[in-house]
This record gives sequence, C-alpha cells and structure tokens, in this order.
Amino acid sequence: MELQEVLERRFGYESFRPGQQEVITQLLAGKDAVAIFPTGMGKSLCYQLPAYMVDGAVVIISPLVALMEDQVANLRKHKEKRVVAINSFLSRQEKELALSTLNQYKFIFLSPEMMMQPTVQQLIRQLHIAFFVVDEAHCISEWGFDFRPDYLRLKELFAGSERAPVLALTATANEKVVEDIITYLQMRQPHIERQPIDRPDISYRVLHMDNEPEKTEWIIERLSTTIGPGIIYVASRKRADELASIIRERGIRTASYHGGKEQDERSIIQQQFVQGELEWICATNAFGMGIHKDDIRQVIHEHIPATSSAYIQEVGRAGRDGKKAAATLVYSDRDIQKVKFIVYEDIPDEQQINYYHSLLQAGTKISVAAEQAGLTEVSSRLLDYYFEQFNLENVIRQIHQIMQVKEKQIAEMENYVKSTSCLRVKLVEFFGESVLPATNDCCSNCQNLDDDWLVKSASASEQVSEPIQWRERLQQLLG
Amino acid sequence: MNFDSILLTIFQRLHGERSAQGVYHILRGKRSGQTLQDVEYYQVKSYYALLPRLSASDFQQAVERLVVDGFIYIDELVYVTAKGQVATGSEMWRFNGWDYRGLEREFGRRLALLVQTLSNLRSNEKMFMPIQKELPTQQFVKGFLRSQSSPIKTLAELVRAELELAMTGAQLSDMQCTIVSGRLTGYQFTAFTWEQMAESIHIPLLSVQLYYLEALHILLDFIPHQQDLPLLTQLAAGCRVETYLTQSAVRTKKLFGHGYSIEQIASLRNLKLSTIEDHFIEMAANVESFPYQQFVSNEQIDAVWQQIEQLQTKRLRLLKEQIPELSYFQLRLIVIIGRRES
Repeated sequence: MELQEVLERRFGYESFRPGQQEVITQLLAGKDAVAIFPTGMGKSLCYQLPAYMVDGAVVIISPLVALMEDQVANLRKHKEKRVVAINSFLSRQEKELALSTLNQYKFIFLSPEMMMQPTVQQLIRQLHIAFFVVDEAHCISEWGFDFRPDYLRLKELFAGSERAPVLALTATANEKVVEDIITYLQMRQPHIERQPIDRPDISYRVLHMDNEPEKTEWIIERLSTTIGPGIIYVASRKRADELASIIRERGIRTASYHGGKEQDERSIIQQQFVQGELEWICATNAFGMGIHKDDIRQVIHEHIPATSSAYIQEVGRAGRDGKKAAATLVYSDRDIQKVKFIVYEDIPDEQQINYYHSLLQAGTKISVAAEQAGLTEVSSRLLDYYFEQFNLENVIRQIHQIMQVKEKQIAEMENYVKSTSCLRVKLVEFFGESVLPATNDCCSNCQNLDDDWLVKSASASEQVSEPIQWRERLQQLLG
Repeated sequence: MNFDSILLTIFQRLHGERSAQGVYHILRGKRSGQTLQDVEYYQVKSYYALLPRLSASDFQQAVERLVVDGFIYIDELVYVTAKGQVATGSEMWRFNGWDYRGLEREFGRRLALLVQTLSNLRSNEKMFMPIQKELPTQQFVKGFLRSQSSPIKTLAELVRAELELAMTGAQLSDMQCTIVSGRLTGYQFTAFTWEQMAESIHIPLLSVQLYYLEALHILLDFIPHQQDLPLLTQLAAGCRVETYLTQSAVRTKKLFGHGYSIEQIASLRNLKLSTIEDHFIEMAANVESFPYQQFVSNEQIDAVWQQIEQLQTKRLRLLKEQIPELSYFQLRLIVIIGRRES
C-alpha cells in the first residue's frame, strides 16, 4: 500500500501535515531520524503510520505513564488491538502476562525503567523489531527542560551495529539538546526534521498586575466578555480550586483540574471539557496531555511557568483547528520569586549533597538518608544516578550545572514577561529560531491585536445544568 | 448527612476512651491490631475503611472545627459535649465499611464503565474514551460483556431494568438515586462532577460523596440476595472482603494451626511478640472457632467483664490496675471475646 492510502484508510486523514511524510520515508528507508514537531502537530503519526507498512513490532520508549496510556488509548480507539504498555503500574501478574505474549503485539510501549531490565531486554531482542521510538527524547539531555536520569541509561541500548532504526520524537529541542539526543541514542547520521515552533494563529499577550486580587478581577472580566473554550494555568492545586469556584459563581461553566483529584473525577472533567459541557478549566500543569480538543480558543497563564518550553507547550494546546487563538500571561512581580522557590526546591545545595553522601557512606538506607538531608524525591533520584558514575566533587559540579540551566530557563521567562519588543519573536528565539513579527494580531507589544473575534455575544448566557430525574437519565443512557 | 455528624457518631461511641488519631485510623481502615480491636469494642465496624484516602490534614481540620463549634473537647482523648450530642442527630445510616473496605468503589467503577460502553454501543458509537482508566476494571468489564449472549440493545435495557429494581428495592433515597445515576456517563452524556452535583442538589460536596458511598454499600448489601438481579450480581463479584484477616495474620494463623506457640511464631517469623499478639486479637475478632480458652479461663473472663461493667470503661490501663495478674494481651482478648452468656 502507498503512504497516502494508509493515511486515509487507517487514520482518516486526507493529507499529511508538514514534515510527517519526510520522517516516515526516511524511517522506512532504514534511517534514524529526529523529529522536532510543536505540540499537537502530528508527531505520533510519524511512527504509527509506518508501523503498518513494515513487518515486525514497534517499540516505543515513553517516560511518562500518563502519556503512554494516552497513546495506547488512542491506538485502541482506532481499532488497533495489538497494543501493550508495560510500566511500573502493572501488577506482577499483568506484567508477566504481557511479557509472555510480547510477540503478539504491534506496538509495545515501555517505560525507561522497564526497558533497562535485563529480562525485558532479552525478550525484546528475540522479537522482530521494525524500529524503535524514543518519545519525549529531550528528557535525555541535561540541557532539556525535563531532564530524566532514567533516560540516560538508554545509552547502552542502541550501541549494537545490527539494530533497527531509531526515531527520536520531541516537541522542543534546541541545537544543544538535539546534539545530546544524537550522541546518547547513538544515532547514525539521522535525518533531522524540524518544524517551525511558531504558531501563526496564536496571538500573545503579557499583562502586568500588582497582585493576586487584581489578577482574579481581570480573569473574571475576561471570561465574562470573551469566548472559550479555554484553559487557565495556575501555580498550585489550591489556587486552581479557589479560582474555579470564583468563576463558577459568575455562572460560567468551569472546573478545576489537578493531580490531587481522584482519577474518576479527572476523567469526567476531561470528557466534559472535550464535549463542550465545560467552558473553562483551571488547572495546574497536570492538565493537557491526552486532551484531544481542537477548538481551544484561549490559554491564560496566571503564573510564570518555569521554562519557555513548558510555556510554549501549554500555549500550543490552543487553536489546533487552525483558527485563531489567544495566549495571555498575567503576572505580578512576586511571581518570579515564586517560580524560583518551586524550581530550586528540587535542586540540592552543596551542603545537602555532602551530607547525603556522608550518610550513604556510613551505610544509611537511601530513603532515610534522603529524608535526613531534606531532599525531595526528585532530587534524591537525581543524586542517586550521579553517584553511580561520578565522585562527590563531580556530582557537585553536575548539580551546579543543572542549577545554572534552571536559572537560565527562569531568566528567559523573566526576560519574556518584561520584554518590550515582539513577544512572538522573543519566544521562538529561545529555541534558536527566528521569525518576523506578524503584520496583524501578533502580540501586545506589537500593539496590533484585533480581539473582535474573541468577543462573547451577549445572548450567550450560560446556565448550570440541573441533573434530570434519575429514571429518565437511566432511560436516556441505556434505553 | 455530613462528615461532621459521622465523626460525632464515632466519637460518641468512643467517648473519652480514644484519641482523635484512633478515629482517623478507623476511617482510613488501618489494618493494625489496635484499630481492628477498636471497631469491634466500640461497634463502629460500619465506619471502618469508609474513607481510605482521607488526608490527615482534612481530618485534622474537621476535628478542629468540631472543637471550635463546641461539639467536642479534647483532653488527649476526645469527649463529646451535650451540644455535640444534639448535633449528632438521629439519622440512621446504612454504611457497611467493614464488608467492603474501599472495594465498593470498584463496583462503582465497573458500573460506570459498563453503562458507558453499553450506552455508546447501543447508539452505534464504537469509538469512545473509557471513563475508567484502571486496567483491572477494563478487563473485568470486557470479560463481563464477552460472557453475555443477549444483543447489545437488549443487554442495555436489562441492565437499566436491574439498576432500577435494585435502587428501589434496596430503598435508596430519591437523592441517592439521583446521585448514583448522575455519576454515570454515556453516549453524549457525561457524568456530573461532585461539585456540579453539590451545587444542583444544594448540599455540601462531601455529603454528596458520603451519600454515594452509602448508596454503594446499600446496593452491594442488597444485590446478592436477589434472584432477579443476575447481571448486577455478576458485576458485584469480588467487591466484598473475602478474608477479614490481614495477610500477615493469615500466616500466623497457619503456624498456630501447626501447633506453634505465640513465642515460637514470633521467633520463626522474626517479628515482635506484640505483632503476633495483634494477629491473635485479629483472629479472635474474626475467626468464629478461635480457641480462646487456651489463653484465658472462664473465671478470668467473668472477672474482667465485672470490672468493665463496674468501671464503665474498656480502657486497658484501668482494667490492668484492677486485675494486675492478667497480661495486656489477655485483657485485650477478653474484651474482644465479649461477655460470657450465663
């Protein structure tokens, strides 16, 4: 079958998005490839489609369980039953069952920890593999915004000379990160496909406020006069709940979403949002992955994200239907301090590292040592990884380096919110790209915004729907 | 019903004998000898493991609120005031935490996924995002559907009929029927969030959740005894606790069956003596034929219960003062075995 035919029959699309066909062709020709596509621009298709054109299984290494489950659910939704996800959330029985039937699957998703287990590797080696996929590949680089030591262990994996091609996927990676990806994954003259990070349909706004009450007031006014669907990103779970309830009081259908809610509740909220039963979501950064909603018109940030990559990913959830969308960041001076506090909490200082090291040397259990040294879970995992390969002095140097990266990332965001020049230009610059300011509807600094399309018509009054009589509801559901 | 009145009810039963922490353990369903013993002594089994995810801070806040409102006072132990007794109310609840211990939620998840699946299939929609993400739940519902022979439309109607029958037959309140049906998702209908439900029926969010929980308990208590609810019976399979002993206690019980003494079991299992004693208390509470006579005599049981009546307390320290020759283990055993019928 031809590419085009598979695209239509399997996936129901008429044409490829930019860059997809190039990646797929290279991969099918047996070459390694790095695909850097902005969020929502069809990264997954780059491995899903060619899987149907060759024999053998596709092994996808994915760092986040949520992401993995979303991909699995999506494939299943498209009637693909030969999908399995193996991660630490499986019980031992489930895992054994999955591993013993591994050769029946077309798509095998693995977390990095699982991939590094000798038994799993041995099983994988016995399979006929079409190609490997490393999702969120920027996690492998210390320069990436989301560095995961687990990922570095993948290094050894792709060393053999007779291995299947490797496809590295990521939404954001500057030159330095791409270099790391190529080196660590031992890629051989890979084809690099980079899609421009700029999204012309999104217009940018930065607004300076004095304090939180002022922000709240602005948001209420904004939501009363402009259209959704939209997402408001906030800094904490508590704030998400609080703000959602304030907005709801104004009769705007809103829910909060964060990792503290039970799974059932999160599913319901996602589904209501996707189906248009909810207009706005107040969320922490836990919201976004796995939300397939094309018509999001606004993304508002009520805090400063820790990195420009996180910001551009969150903003990129708007306007996937190719229509206009508005990104707004409202900040006050204190937000810089707040984000620093949150980020630095996960980075141990020299004293902590020394103390932790000495405790471990004295034979203290890892968990106890971490607690005594006052390390967060993230920071103790990081240190454990480094101590495996470096001496104390070098570990301190490494951590120091990470600290510098984080500082630089926060400085970028500070630079962005305080900028007086074009916000679009500024933002893509952080990713080593360049773009010209848009001639209209560009950003608040270009002063060429036209928000007519955003205005909510007065007749669109909203009301909270009442639950209907229960017998009637059961009848509607089940007949 | 609200969380406060549940707390007050439990505090009342434990009046002046336990700290607030003890009640927290009961609600969370801690599987320790002390907690298992407490629910038995004070007859609060129905509240055991009612809220396995209750956070310490939420609990603490609720307790502090009760203190501020003058419903309880705390002097290490918790005492309910006269005002608190009035505030407790007299609502009769039908919780059965002891038999379900959180598993009732699995029934809720299965029901939600089954209804969503049937609702979509009967509308010829074969692609939808499952509202339940847990693999075991998905596998259960898949297996359930595979075992049915009726066509989808018929099956959907049968499930609807059984649900209606169960909800009315088990005498759920009208509000509970609304809540249970409101938590179901289907083709072009999404379930309501707790917040939405609370707003539309004008009761606090936590109350909605408690009514839902109670409804699940009531349904699960009702379903297995009905011959005309075959589908729901199948759906409820395994949601009732099967073994009331902790796994560790099961191991101890086995060794005890082989004739080992408490001390021998402790050294064999490399566990503290007190832990093994906890296991024996668990067995005394849950195993019908537990041979307590090996540890205490009838005379001792009578003597202790005489003291309990006299002092109007089951606190071990006070009992120990009166009958110092008995060990704490023996005292605990006697309290849990209960009064001998004369």
